Amino acid sequence: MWQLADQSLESRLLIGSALYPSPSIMQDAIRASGAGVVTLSLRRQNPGAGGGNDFWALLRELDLHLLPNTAGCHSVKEAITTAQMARELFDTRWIKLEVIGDEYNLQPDPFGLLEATRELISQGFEVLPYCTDDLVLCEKLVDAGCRILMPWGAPIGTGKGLINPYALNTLRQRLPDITLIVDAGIGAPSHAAQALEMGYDGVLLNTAVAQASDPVAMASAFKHAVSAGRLAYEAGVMPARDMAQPSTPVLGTPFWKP
Amino acid sequence: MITVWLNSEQKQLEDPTCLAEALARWQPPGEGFAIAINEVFVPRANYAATQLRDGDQIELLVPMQGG
Repeated sequence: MWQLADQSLESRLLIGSALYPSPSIMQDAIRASGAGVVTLSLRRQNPGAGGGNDFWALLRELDLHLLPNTAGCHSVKEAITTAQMARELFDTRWIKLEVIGDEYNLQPDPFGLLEATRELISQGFEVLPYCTDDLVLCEKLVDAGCRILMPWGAPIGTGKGLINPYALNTLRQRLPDITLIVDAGIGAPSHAAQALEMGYDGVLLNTAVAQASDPVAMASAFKHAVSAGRLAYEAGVMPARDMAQPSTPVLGTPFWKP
Repeated sequence: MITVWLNSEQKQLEDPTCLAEALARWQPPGEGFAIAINEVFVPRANYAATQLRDGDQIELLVPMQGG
């Protein structure tokens, strides 16, 4: 078990609810992932988009902790209003705070993110900011009251994995008491394992499972990868070396000649 | 009469009309929605006390898939 804000969770995988081929596959994949937290959003009712009460009923059947997002918000005001609406609708003070600064790569706007974070924390929210891996931004988010940070591994939906392991490692080293979750960019289970091996507390992903040929099987693969990564971190991954070092004993080497 | 916009769709209402009355007419699905007017959140407890004004932009949002 581990602690995410005020909740004890078994799995270190957080999963999204979008982009699945069908509602039933969404349910099956989320179950197979073993995730204890699922993300969701708010949108205008659109019969063709599949949301609304039917989706809401399916998600409630899973009985998971809900993490609503402010996806698509480009201003501080939009993000704050969306968070307030989510708090009432989903009856949770958790918010995955997104303030998008660039439409091309959906990069978070660090300035707007920080401003919205300060305001929402003052209103009693547990803010889980979707942020870049910039150390100074992350330190300021912590100063603002965040207990959890969610730096990107790569831009949303790219599946590129951890494109800047140095920056992510730096965050882990410099913010040892903060819950760190890699959010976005994870494409393969090995990427998730890498994040956990680095000491990240969890990963949040959606597209890698939902858009797999077999989302249910991929969800299971991620479940195992996250467990393996965490176990490896706890076991202590050996340090990398530049020089080869034989693993088979040198003493007693056959055909040895002095 | 006043003109308001519900999710960008034009609606005509008698003046005065409160948000609760307007919602009773529009019949949104169940209780699974939240409201903002002119980008300001309106708590459910305030629906009856919120008087709609000409030109109001009403945002009615429902649960949706998200990552």
